[in-house]
Amino acid sequence: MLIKICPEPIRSDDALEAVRHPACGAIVSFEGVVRDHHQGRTVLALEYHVYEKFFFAETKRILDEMHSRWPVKAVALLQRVGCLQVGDTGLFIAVSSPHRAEGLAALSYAIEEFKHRAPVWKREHYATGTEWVVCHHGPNAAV
Amino acid sequence: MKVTVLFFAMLQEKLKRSEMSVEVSEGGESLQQLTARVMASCGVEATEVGHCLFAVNWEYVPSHHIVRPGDEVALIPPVAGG
Repeated sequence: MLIKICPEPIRSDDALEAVRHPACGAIVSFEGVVRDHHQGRTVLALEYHVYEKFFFAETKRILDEMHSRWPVKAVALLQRVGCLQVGDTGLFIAVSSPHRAEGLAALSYAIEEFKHRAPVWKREHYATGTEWVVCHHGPNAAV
Repeated sequence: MKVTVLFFAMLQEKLKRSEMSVEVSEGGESLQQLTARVMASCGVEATEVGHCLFAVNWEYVPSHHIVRPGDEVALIPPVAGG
């Protein structure tokens, strides 16, 4: 399992190579990219912030859950931090599995849980100012 | 005996600080009580953090969780990963 916070641009090949395995016929991946708009406003740039210790702990919990539910072989998750431009990669997740169906299901689970639970915050920059993006709110168990 | 309380993102900006060291008794204190004290000391209404979740020692916990000396407490505003 590879979990990494990247102050520099994400190298998705690193994640893909990290999960490659001779027993796996599928490598599936998700790439989150900075969009040029949000709720009708033009986005110029985006900042990602994380709470590092909790990020590693919670992400590992999510990926352990994924491993326990699907027969995946390996997973790599790379999170970018700092200031990103439109088109930059903010998140990359790769999962390898013997067959594609379990890989796709496992990846979908990991993304959804990550979006709701990982202590990651982003602030969008517009021509008129900046704003923290509010999307999700933690695990149900803690509410 | 103290705990460290961490603030992030919009909350960090509102409070103009990223962390505080707060005295707690050896028997501990609930997160609700601790947060009310912390917000009062910052001159902020506790309702301002009503949308936050809590993490203690890098794990989500409910608001009735008892904080012990030495714990790392974090107020977690709505996250936006992905």
